[in-house]
Amino acid sequence: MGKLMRKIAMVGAGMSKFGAFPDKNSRDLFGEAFINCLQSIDKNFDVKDIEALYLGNYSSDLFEGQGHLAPMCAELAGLTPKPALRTENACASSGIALREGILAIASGMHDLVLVGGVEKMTDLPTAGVTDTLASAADRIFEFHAGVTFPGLYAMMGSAHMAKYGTKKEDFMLVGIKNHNNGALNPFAQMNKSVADIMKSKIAKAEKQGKPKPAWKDEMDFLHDLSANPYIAYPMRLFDCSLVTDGAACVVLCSEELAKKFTDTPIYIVGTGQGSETFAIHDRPSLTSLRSARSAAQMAYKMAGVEPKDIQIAEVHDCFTIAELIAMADLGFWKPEEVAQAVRDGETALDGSKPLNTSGGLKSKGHPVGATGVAQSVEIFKQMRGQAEGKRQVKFDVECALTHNVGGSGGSCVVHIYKK
Amino acid sequence: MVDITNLKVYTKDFLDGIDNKVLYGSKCQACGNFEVPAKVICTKCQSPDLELVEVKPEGKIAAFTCIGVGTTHFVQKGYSMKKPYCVVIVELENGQMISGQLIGGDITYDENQDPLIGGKPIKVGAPVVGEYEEYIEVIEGKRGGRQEKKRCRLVFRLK
Ligand SMILES: [Zn+2]
Repeated sequence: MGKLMRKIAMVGAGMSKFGAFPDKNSRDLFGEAFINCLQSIDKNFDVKDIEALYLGNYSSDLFEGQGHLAPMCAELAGLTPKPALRTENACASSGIALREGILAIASGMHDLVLVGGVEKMTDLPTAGVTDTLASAADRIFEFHAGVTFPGLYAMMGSAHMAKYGTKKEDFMLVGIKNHNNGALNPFAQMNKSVADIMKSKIAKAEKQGKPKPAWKDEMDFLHDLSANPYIAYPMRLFDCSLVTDGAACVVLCSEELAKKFTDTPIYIVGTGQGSETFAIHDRPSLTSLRSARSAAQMAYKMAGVEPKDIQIAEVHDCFTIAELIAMADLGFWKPEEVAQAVRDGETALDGSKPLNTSGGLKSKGHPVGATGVAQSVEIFKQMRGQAEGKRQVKFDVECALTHNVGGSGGSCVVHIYKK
Repeated sequence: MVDITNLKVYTKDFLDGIDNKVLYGSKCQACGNFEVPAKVICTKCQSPDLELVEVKPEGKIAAFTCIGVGTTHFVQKGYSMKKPYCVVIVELENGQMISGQLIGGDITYDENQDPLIGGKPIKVGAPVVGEYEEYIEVIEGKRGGRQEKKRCRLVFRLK
């Protein structure tokens, strides 16, 4: 138990530009991601080598009125009549598709598979998006009480503040850091720093002849309730991830096959998955997810590494509080130390453990079903020294991690990568 | 001969309880585990041998949020960014928790940008007491036609 029977290599990884695209549907987004993924493979690849598709998608049924996306995407990738499976675990849908792809190769069932994730979210009005996301929470015991998705994490935030003395400013610092990274990522939906967003708002006000906002700096801007209102106290607009259209793909294969396609494969050496009670009020702690702790333990043990060995990680910052909770659940810091670590810049691009070099869900965007695989795309690029722009970290990444959470923590999947 | 085993407690029993202004927990007859809201199978020992037990909807706030962007249902009730609503997780007497709306006035923010309800601060640890808010649910019939049903929601108020 807890072993991969074969070594798993990632030989290609690509994503679509993330954003709000009124003229693109899931088919188009998957097509973009697939082509970007193929272009990342160094040599000798033929799409006929792909034996199956594992596709993460949360709710194209509600977002687009289109279910059953796996065969649709498999057709685009030239796989028909090969197997195509859709996985649904809310926002962890494609992280779990990745795990299923890994298990397929590890078991010997397949030698090479395509793993993807896609979500087209921006067709619905805000209330429709809110309802669709909230349907990943407990319909009877949470949704009927009026809880939204931001509301669930906001409640965890209120508990974190009461238990550990975390400040609203700590949440803001996480958002600023992720926007700084996303500003360097051309694939990010909001690839602008908070400071630049503030400056463009000032410029816009001046152009329109409105009174010039008196923000001194980005923290001052984020404290302004008219510029940064509470979506769900204590989570403000700039604490929430975006509503996004996007897709991502990776190609996984056995170690033997990998050498044919590249000299620098990235190996996935640990995979773990966990679950947590459906409603957050049934949990022993409101400031930690047992799904994440258990998935991380499973992945660390399989990989034979410890939290201190992880040099960079993409963590599931659907809300800024989620990144703080992840920092402790993954064993990087003690829960009472996470806020100070953020204040000290430990998680910034030039810190001791950069988190979300891609910009995270906050700035890169969060097309829920694509998020898990998009995290792997960032790790693939960073580990091969291929991250665009100035967000490439300044050291060799030998060991990295992704952490992908579904819903309010009901699902979590963690992967560990090595060269 | 096949035995079809039914559960002793169903979700509807809990919901009917709320409609009748009673909050039910479930007491496991096999292991003694007590859960609120009532479950349909004991989540500790998986026994279906549960008894419904009435619980006082009273306790203290374990977590809260004030929601500006609400669900469709709450938007239709008139809530918005300008008129947020508060949802709390309440820790009951024996440690079990339940989610519900906190009522008792408009939500405003103090000079530290922390929320007040009806002018009183909302804080983790604050004691609250439950009450039942009546509403009419309109049910669309399967063969057309609409039916109105009197229902209740459990809501909380600061003590
Ligand atoms: Zn029991």
